[in-house]
Amino acid sequence: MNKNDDLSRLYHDAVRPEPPQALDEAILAAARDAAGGRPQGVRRLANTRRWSVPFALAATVLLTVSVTLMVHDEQQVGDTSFTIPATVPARPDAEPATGSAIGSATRSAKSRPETQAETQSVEPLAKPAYLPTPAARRNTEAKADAGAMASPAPMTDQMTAVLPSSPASFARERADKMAQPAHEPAPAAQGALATDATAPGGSIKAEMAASAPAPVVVTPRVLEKSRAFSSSIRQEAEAGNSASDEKSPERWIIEIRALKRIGRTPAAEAMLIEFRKRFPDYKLPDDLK
Amino acid sequence: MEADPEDEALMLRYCAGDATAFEALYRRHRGPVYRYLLRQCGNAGSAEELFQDVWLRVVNARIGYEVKARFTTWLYRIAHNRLMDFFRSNARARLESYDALADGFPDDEPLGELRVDFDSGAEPVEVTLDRKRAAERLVAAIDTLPAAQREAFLLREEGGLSLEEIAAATGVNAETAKSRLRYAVAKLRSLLKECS
Repeated sequence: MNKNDDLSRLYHDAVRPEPPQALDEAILAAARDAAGGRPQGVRRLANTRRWSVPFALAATVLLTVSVTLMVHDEQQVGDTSFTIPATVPARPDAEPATGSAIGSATRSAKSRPETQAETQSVEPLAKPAYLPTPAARRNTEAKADAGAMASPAPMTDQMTAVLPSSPASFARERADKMAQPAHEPAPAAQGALATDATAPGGSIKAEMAASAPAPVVVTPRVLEKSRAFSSSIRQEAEAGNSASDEKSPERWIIEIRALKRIGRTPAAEAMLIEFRKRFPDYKLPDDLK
Repeated sequence: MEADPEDEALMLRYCAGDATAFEALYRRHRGPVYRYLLRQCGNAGSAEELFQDVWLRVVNARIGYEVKARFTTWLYRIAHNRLMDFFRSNARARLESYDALADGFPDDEPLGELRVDFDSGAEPVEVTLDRKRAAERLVAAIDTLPAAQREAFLLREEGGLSLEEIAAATGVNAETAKSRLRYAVAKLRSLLKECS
């Protein structure tokens, strides 16, 4: 083939067309895509990017769950502490040992002489920080009364606001009460006496308690009133609303007395008026005249 | 002509995922393959389409690629097959011409007469013609060759294939490839001589 070398040289001297640049790029891009052939650095970067989204999602979920659990725990602690120290100790010497907030709350309560004076009298229960609906209150009181039937120291939801939050504080409180003869020694109500501010969780919401409208003071008589009222309510609930018209006069008397005992005087008076309408011939007891 | 192991090594590297190996391979063979297709099909648009198809077939053939022959032979075999498909679908007349001419040259035709043509040039081409103009005339003469002869000539000049490799790429036996190539060369010399 050496004789064709001249022809070959001549051919290679001719114009030599080349494929367009765009075609080159298209083919090379297709080859790179087919092989997944990016430079190593780019591939590593792509791997990092590939995992960045799952990592971010996992971190977000973890953070969200953590915050949710934390808030949930905080709310539980807050709810517990909110119901504990909202009262003034029934004893003047029940100065809290911890927390200036508790101290201030106690002092603010002490500044009301009527509060201490009324500890031995029939005092209506102070309004709670939040007001449940009448139906809910009735239900709550009925439940509390049901608990009173089974427990030697009956409690209502309102009373839980003044219960010691731990058995230790309860025992300490009881010992203090025993040492003070000025107070009524009603054993069933001992647990409902003044709050121990040193109880766990008792100092967290002390500031809120200090700003409460009126501290709750519970005495054994109050407990008794509440129990009686709850009992009447429960009886009423058992009897049913439709049967309220068929109550006996004695039942009316019991309920009116219960209302008066717990300080619901207007309600008691309204009920008394209704009673007189229904039973005009019934002879009222002396205490209701 | 010795086999170039580097092409096969590059292709194997590309099969393993190294795109830069393919790029080196492509840069090396893009021009010859393109010119082979361009001179065979006759227009740049079709040549570009065929060119892209050929290389995409190479890309797709990376899976299961084995070194059974020179890479160049394998590459031009792909190009040849694609060209035949093109002829069948778009240039039926040209394909018939290709087949007729391919069949029309007896493989065992004595080369004596052709040698007469080769040796008949009393004056070297490069002496009598301006080199540039001679090259242009050669390209024009190539276009007038029958497709099979033109293909053999192009495979040798552009692809650097041997007769055996030309035969393997075009699917004919070595003698047929040799005959086509000789006829192509003889005709080109004749045409160039006429022009001069």
